Parts: sequence; structure tokens; C-alpha cells
Amino acid sequence: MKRQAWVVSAATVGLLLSLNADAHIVSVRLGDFFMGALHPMTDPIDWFVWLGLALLAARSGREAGRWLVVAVPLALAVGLWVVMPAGRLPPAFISDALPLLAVGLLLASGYRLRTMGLLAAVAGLMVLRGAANAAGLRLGADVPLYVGGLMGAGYVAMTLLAALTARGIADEAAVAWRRIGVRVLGSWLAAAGLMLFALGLRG
Amino acid sequence: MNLRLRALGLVAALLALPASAHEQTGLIGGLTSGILHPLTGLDHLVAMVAVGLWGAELGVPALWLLPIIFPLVMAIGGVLGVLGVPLPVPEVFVAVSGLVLGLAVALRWNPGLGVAAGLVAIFAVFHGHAHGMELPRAANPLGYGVGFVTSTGVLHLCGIGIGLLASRPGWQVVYRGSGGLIAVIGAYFLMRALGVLL
Repeated sequence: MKRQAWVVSAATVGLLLSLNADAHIVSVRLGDFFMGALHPMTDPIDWFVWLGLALLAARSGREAGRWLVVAVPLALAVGLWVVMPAGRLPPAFISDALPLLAVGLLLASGYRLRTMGLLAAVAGLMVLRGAANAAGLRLGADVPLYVGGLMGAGYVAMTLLAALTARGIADEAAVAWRRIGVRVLGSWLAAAGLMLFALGLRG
Repeated sequence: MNLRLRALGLVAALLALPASAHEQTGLIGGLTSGILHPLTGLDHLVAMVAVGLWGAELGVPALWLLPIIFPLVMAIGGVLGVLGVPLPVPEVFVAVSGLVLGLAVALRWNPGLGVAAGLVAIFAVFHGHAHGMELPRAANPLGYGVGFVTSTGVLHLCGIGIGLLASRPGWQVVYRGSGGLIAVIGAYFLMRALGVLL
């Protein structure tokens, strides 16, 4: 009986002290962080390029692939910071078509990049994608929060994708057909990128 | 009860909104039209399947090289199409591709990887050109590009699958018969392209 009274009293105090619930944190101060994190998911080019890069990393081996977890978020941030002062986004055939074409050709070639080559590919591709993701920055947005969100998305996505693809295609002999599948996928991405590039040139 | 049902029907009818079952806009619209483009054109479809069938007959490495090379070369033709660069009699070449590839399958012609890849590449340029001409009008160019490349790849895989299945003893008639049928369809489209048939 005494214990029940304590529980009821504690619940009453809890109710009296309760504040408004803010379930949708995107509508409060951290909104720009989530905006940055979610923006890459709204563009299929990012899906394809990020997946392609993870496959490249997986094929390059674990030692080289580990660097992506750090390099991808940094390159995304650099791309966004570089494009911001100009106030203009790069043309779509550069920021969309070129990364798709490049990552597709690298995958289709079957070439196994060394660490420096992989980092150069990351620098080229992700700086462009970072610049393209500046499109999600609305006027008056908190830029560091937006960049933080974008970097966080890059870190999480690349960690998960690289780990999953490394597990899927790492073994040499047992999964030869998967490696062929990766090359076929690369040729398809490169073909789509090439067509987009032509469309961009046409204007 | 009857009255209730009628009242419910009336309310539902008043609250009804326009149905948009086939929303062909944005990425999904582009993807759908891209996927359907090679499937709805019989001349494209049979040639793509024939490439896979022939690859299965030629064996490794043609078996897996053709699905890698074909989309890339096709994209070069697509670029020409997008840029509006005219190719001579594209419909004739697309039809000829069906005829020649069908005959190659039916006759089990094995000219070697180089000749086979070269021949397929020439035909790929014309098929890509036809797809590329459609690209600027697509609801979403990226979706369209990914869609038609994927659809083409799946048709190759269908051909490879049929070819591998037909490589079993006693199934050769299926393989050669498929090639013969493709050649007939190619010949039909060739006669139409030349104006022999309406």
C-alpha cells in the first residue's frame, strides 16, 4: 500500500513536470544536420557513385579500403566548402555524369587500385559529389551542421557499404562470378554516365 | 442495409479523387520508359537475346565479355544519338543485326572472339543510337539511361541462360531454332525498313 502511494506520487510529479515532446527533431535546431545527412539519399547519382566506390574499395583490399572511411567524409566536406564561396553549383554533366562514368569505367576495367590510386579516385569523385550536395543548402542554413550531417552520412554509408561488399567479393576463387558481376555493373554505370555526359554537353 | 450501402457509395463517390495509376514522371517515369524501350521494340529485343545466345555458344571469355563491352559501345552510339549525329540508315542496321546474329546462332558460326566482338560492337552503336535519340525526351534522363542499359543487360542474360540450357545434349534444336526464329524476325524488319513490306 505504502509502495503504491509512492508510485502514484512519483507519477503525479512526473506528469506535473512534463514538457512538450519534440519528436521531430528536424524542426528544431539540429534540422540542418539531418538535412545534410539525408540529402545524398534524395539523389540516385549518390547511391550509384557511393556504391561503386565501396565496390572499388572492396576490390582493392582491406588495407586500402579502410582509408575510405576517413577520406570520403573529408572529400565531401571539401567539395561543399569549395563550391560555397562561388555560390554556384557545378554543371550537372560534371558533378553527376563524370563521377558515374569514372566509377563505372574503373569497375568495368577490373583494375585493382592501390591505396594512393583509390584515394585519388575518392578525392576526384567525392569532391564533385560534395559540391553537388550543396544544392540542399537552403538560405540561412547552419552550414557546419549541414556539413556535419553530410560527413556523417558519408562515414556511415561507406563503412557499411564497404564492409558488406568486401565480404561479398573478397574471396578470390569461390566468388569469381561475383567479380564478373561487379564488372558488368560497372559497364552499365559507365554507359549511363556517358549518356548523361552527352546530354549535358548538348545542353 | 441497402440504404446504408447506397449512402456509403454516394459518400465514396463524392470523396473520390482522380486515379493516377500510371504516373510516368520523375525518376520512376524515366526508369520505366528506359526499361520498356528495348522490350517493346521487337527488333531490339531479338538482337539483344541473340548476343547472349551467341556468347553462350562462343564460351568463356566471350560469355562474360560481351555483356561488359556491349553496354559501353552501345552508350557511344547513344552519345551520337543524343548529340543528333546522324547515322546512315539506322533502321536497316538494327534489322540487319537481328538477321546476322540470328543466322550466326542458327548456323553455330564461330569466327573467333575478335570478329564476333567487332561485329557485335558495330551493331551496338546502331542500337545505342536509337535509344539515344529518345533520351532527351525522357521524363528523367538518368532513369531512362539506367533503365535501358539494365533492360539490355537482362536480355543478354536471358540469351545466355537459354544458350547454356540448350548446350545440353539433345537441346541443340532449341538453340538453333531460337537463332532461326531471330533471323526470320530480323529479315521481316529488314524488308520493312527497305520498304518491301508495309
